Amino acid sequence: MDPAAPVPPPLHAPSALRAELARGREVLLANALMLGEIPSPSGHETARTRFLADRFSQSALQDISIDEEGNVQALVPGRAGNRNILLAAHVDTLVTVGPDQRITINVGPESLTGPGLADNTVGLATVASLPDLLERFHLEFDANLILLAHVKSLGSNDLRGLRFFLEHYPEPIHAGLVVEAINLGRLNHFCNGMVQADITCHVHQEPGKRWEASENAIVIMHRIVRRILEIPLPQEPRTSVILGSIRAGRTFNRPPETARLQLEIRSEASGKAREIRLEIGRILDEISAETASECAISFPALRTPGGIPFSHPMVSAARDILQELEIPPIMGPSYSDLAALISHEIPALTIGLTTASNLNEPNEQIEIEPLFMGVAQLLSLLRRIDREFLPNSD
Amino acid sequence: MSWLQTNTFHHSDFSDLRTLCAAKEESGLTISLCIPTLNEETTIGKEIVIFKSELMDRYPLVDEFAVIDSGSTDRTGEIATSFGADFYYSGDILPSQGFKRGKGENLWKALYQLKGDIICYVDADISNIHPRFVYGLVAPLIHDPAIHYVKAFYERPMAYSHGIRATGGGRVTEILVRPLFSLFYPELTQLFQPLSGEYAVRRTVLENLPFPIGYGVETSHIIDVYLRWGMPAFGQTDLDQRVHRNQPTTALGRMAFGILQSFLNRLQKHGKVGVRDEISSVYRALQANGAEYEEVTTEIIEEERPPMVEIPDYLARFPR
Repeated sequence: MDPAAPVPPPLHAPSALRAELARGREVLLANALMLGEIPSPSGHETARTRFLADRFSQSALQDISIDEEGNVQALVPGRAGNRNILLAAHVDTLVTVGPDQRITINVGPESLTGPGLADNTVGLATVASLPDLLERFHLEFDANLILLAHVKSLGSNDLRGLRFFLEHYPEPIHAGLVVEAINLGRLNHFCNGMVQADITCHVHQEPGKRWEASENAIVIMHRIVRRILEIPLPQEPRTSVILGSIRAGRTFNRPPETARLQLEIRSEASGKAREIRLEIGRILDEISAETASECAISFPALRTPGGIPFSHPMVSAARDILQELEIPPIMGPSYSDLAALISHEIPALTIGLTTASNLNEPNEQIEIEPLFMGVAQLLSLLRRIDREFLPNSD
Repeated sequence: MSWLQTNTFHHSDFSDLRTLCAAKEESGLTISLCIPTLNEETTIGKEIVIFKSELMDRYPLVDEFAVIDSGSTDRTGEIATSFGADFYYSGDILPSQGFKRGKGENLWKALYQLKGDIICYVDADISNIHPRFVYGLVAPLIHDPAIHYVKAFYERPMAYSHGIRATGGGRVTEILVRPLFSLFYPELTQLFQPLSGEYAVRRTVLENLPFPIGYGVETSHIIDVYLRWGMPAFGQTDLDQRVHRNQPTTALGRMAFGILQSFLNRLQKHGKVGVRDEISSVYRALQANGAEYEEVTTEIIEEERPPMVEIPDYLARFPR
């Protein structure tokens, strides 16, 4: 052996894991292909969860079950088995297909192509592949790994499946990782306060009246938007109002009776988001009275701020691993799955696995090479959490 | 019970792959998978990944797997090798026998290149590929020694850019082959899709069959197997759906012409018809070019390769 030759890193080092993952990539890619072609709109994830349950069964995992909400879970038992690490990926996607349509995912040497990969087929495929990967790399943990594919997370379902799981899981969860397909380097450890608001306004149009003289919901909604934008927003705590979508009308010359606005209020302080929510409510009451219209508001989703601090050992470990893999961290607040774990006071992180392009398009593309780094990151982080950061238990 | 009832299966009958692999091991049979290709860069990666992962790594159903190529000019070879497939140019196999371009040529040479007792052929242009395209076909051969040749059948939606329309596939089968079978080999009409490109066959059968190198290979094989081993040798498995590129009618016309040549050849050989004058090998079609009309001719000669057992190199490689 040449004494001058560089010593190869141990297999469990992130860089070594990445190289090995490239050699045995079929299991990960096959799971992404097969899962990706199963339609899974929010609330209709049964076909995917059945596939996952079969996969877990093939790997001889323990405690495989599908709960009343439709979440599928399985346990990789640990050597000590007195601590639990949760790995969660959401099953549902925004992709919908008609009765005569199907989803096609293709794979080339550099990328996977097809709808729904980035949110979150590839993340889910990674969780599904974990038993095979642990076996391949002879990775064992003291803690139990709970693999959770949760349903009904998107849109108005608002993390319903994950919330149900967390409220009913009988054992304590000591740490959590939310697995998202994108972006490599993503590292969320906290969430800000957030309120989603769904505003509708309805006007009454007199029958027989000429269109140019009729009441117009767009005009009322325009007034609502202007008043919302006039609400003063502090720079500290950082607060913003994002106007997401506005819909009204069907054609050029008929004033609509109804208009709809969806927005999101974000703030580092939960009290501030609540203040703005109440202010918007007051604005709607005022405009309803002024214009004899009916303005209503509902709140599909709410998040309270929280999480682990930047100095937390889990965050430091994640940053160390990203540094070793030469991946720049992308840090910031999360408003999605992580918030549910935070609300149950579970120390948790969200990580991203790879890079993507053509997001939300039928030809959405996931890069394969970076994915190996992302998965190496995940496996390394699991090892660090298991060995260094979980509290001792009696 | 009729042949249709006893020898028609559904892929779900065999979906317990753990049990199927145990049966395969007990039988001592080996299985080789062949994917013939010509410019299939879009779908070949997916087929390789899924078959390798599911039918070799996860369940050891397939012992050997090769892509046999006719000379692709796109990235088919690069993609196939990048995913770890054994990739062969058909012209490099059995060089003593030369090279003839055609799908049947690839299927014939696969018999020399691959070593399995069972050869399973799967086309490369299937966009909804799934492990059932293999296990659904080899399983009847594992379970029943009386079955030698298993064909796939399925509903064949045609893939359009905006979705899939049900039915409409199998046009050459319904318009040409089924009527011919009805006339001359009525028992063979029990096969749903005699032209399907997915089938699994015992080597001991394949090595005794001549291989038309062009369009007529599937039809000829079915007639030859039927005449030598009878209907009990056949099985067919429902694979539900197969989504692939749809061919234009003009291409199907050429395919039908090639199949008809092979069919007439078999009818003459077995004394079912006599042909008095020489039959043309030129397919003639018409097309409009603006306001001008013209005839387009294509010469289609359905050459045949002899049975592999007649090739000395093959007998040296697979001694009796």
